[in-house]
Amino acid sequence: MAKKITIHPVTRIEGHLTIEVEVENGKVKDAWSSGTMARGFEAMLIGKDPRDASYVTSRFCGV
Amino acid sequence: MKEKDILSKDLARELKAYGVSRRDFLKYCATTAAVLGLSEFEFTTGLVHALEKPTSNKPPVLWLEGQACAGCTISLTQSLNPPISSVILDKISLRYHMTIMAAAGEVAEKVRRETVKEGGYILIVEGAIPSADDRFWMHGEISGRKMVEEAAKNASAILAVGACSAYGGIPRACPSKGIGVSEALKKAGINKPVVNISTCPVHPDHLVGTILYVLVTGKPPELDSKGRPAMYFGEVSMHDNCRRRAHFDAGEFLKDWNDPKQKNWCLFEKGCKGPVSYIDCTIRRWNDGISFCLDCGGLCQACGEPVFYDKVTPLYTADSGISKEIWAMRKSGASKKDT
Repeated sequence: MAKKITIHPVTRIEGHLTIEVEVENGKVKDAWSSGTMARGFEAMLIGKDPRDASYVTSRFCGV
Repeated sequence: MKEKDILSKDLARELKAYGVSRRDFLKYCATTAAVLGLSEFEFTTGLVHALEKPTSNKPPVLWLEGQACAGCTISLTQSLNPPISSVILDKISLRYHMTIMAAAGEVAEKVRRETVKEGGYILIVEGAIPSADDRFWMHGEISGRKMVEEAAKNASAILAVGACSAYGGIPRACPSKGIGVSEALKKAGINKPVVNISTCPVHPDHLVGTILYVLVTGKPPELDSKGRPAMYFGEVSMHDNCRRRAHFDAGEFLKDWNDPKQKNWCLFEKGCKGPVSYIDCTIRRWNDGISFCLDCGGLCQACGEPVFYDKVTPLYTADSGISKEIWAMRKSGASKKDT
């Protein structure tokens, strides 16, 4: 019988991360990771002055 | 003031372990008290009292991260120099901070839930709250919006840190339509004062100073018309103290970066929004007082104002609505305009 382990939040990283692991007989059978926050920078930058991109995308991750 | 009586031997020894002498500590207290508008005596005794509290009695802090980049967290860790700020940050009990806490998963979540239940903590929110759809920010089974609303109910003070959590910042222009904490709480019918410590990222002095103010006086500081601490915001515009100011008045605007003659001219045509930006960067500066945007040939994008970012774009031309307002201000001779 597979056992599912969910780790949320995963800390000491930038962003919002959840890890799900399926364990069977002491071995990892399957695993999923999901980022749980999205802003949509790419969609927002469409139609903007291209020089904005350097300023804005540096705010994608501040670490 | 009898300083000897205020600072106990035990605390003095503890400070020394951090590399902070008694003299450093009292000097820091004197300068900080002046900025915060408190008397030196009131501030020093209040801070010593807060520092001497036993571990179990430390003022708890919850730090929640929404639609943010963790840049404000990084900016705060910059305040480790001078070490006095790190003493204060060690002394508060930072119970929950996704980027720096050691615990993960259910262990961390349990601490958050218990702290919220206990109440009386300082709630710090970094990042905007999505208003288009809750699924843009999920926290486990619940939405981030709900988590912030729940945490706000029992908080003794709420600090919205950075442009995103103060007014929406860059995420406001994004498909997630991020909004600031004060707006989100108002929408949810929670009527609590929020201190907006804007700028992108937050200035470590602004944040540590505001935390100190809350620790010492037990209440949030006086705010300006946009909900920001009046001791740091709202009084002097970047434009007022700009070294290129005379060229603005003389109508000398830099158009060509390659022309040495124009090198010191006003950067308005290149997209500077200094005249609507009421932040104390020109006095306080950044990176431990080394420099700031205008001093290294950059432009002011008014990152501490509610107009940031959707109304100041395009950043590097004078075509934004705000640039047009600045131009109209110059023509009419008005020196100040509320944004």
